[in-house]
Amino acid sequence: MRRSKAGQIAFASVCIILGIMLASQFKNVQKVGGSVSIQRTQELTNKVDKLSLDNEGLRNQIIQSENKIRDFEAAAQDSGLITKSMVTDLQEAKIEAGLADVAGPGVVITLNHLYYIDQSSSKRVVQQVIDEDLLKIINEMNASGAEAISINGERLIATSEIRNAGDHININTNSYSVPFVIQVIGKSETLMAGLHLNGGVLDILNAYYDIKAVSQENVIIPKYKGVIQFKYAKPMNDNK
Amino acid sequence: MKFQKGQITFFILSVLLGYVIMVMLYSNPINMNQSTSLSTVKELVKKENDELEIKKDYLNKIRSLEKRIVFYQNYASGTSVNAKKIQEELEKTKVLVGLTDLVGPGVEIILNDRKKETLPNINENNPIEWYIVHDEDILKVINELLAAGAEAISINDMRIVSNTRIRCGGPTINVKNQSLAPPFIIHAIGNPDQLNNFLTNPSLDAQHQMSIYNYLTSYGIEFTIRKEENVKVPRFYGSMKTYYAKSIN
Repeated sequence: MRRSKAGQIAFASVCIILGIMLASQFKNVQKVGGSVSIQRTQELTNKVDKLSLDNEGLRNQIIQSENKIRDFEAAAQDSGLITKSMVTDLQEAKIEAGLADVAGPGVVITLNHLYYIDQSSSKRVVQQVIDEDLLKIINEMNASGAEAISINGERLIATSEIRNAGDHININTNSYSVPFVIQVIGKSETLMAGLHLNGGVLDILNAYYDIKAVSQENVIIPKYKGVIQFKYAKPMNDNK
Repeated sequence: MKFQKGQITFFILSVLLGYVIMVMLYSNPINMNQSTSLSTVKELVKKENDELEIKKDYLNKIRSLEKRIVFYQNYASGTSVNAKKIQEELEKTKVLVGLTDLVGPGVEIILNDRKKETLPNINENNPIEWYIVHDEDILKVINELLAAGAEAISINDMRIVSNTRIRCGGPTINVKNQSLAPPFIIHAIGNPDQLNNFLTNPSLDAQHQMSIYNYLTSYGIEFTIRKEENVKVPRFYGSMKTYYAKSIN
């Protein structure tokens, strides 16, 4: 087949331009990496923000400790003053450890079975309560600044588990079933807002359970009933 | 009218050329964004490193200040039996609360999103969400470890305390106030066999027919459990002060 010279030149030039464009396009795609870099920027910004917030907290802790030391020194090693400050520390630590009954404002959440009537007109439970859903509520409460939490009178501490065991749910190795009463101490408005987030726990769990949350001025949460004793964990020698 | 073969090829190439030009035009805005964010990313990485450096300094400072406080407390304890009792109780409670570094037998767990090379075709029926580690997955792993009697747990060196929250924030997960990105390295102190069993053996009730290990690995999530003789779990740093909860003992 014969082609005109002009046609061949046009064909060749289109091919070259196309080639260059494809090559540069590939290069661009490699460099851009889609929206990943934008995501990465956001991720990093979050990280930096959290870190500086963290550092601010640590800075406050440093100031508190420095003040304490200054007080100790000013009192010319007054052992009475130091003892008093140890008592305060101990009280705070006991609340956190779950070793003290506590009271304060907060919310009380009750979770019960939701029923429906089936074709043979008998009453059936929509869903048994599962541990994951309780965990989600607790996690949401912690995220909303909860200071103390109990479920059916079981104080939740650092080592508390919430786990399905047959028809029951084990909490601190004791068995519980419905109704679940979750008591939370913290700023009621924040706790309520956390529960009522759009698409949050209440939105999701309302379809499966009869769940109610009320704020209360005085929630009383008992201390941990068991004995906490570490069998395996030993304090690390501080050599630094 | 008859076309020559060359003309048809020429026509197809021209259409392709037009298409490529359009694609390039549309991709240009992303391209510009990218070039600005590249310097931003560099800047952010520098900021992150600075903050990490500051944090390290602060933690050292806190450790040394606390040592001095204990020095004074030791002094007070030497002067009265009552003070000595209080100090002993304080030290014990600090261990329980998570204010001391701990070491002991246990497990090291690594959780990571499914490797990119092994990802199946992602579409509506097969979303990417199935192949990444979620806050709920971590909650379940921690919960199993606690059920197995774990005495101390940390995630990426963040100690889990009673009011730790584990929350999903996009591609990273927030633990307490820190945001962590995968991989998630979890350290737990306790009976290593028991910790391992709770993660890998399905329990008997209907809701947990699958162990958390089987469940997550069935999606290709990276999940390794290593029993170790000396697992280190760092202490919690931060305020334990409560503003609403008051002791009534």
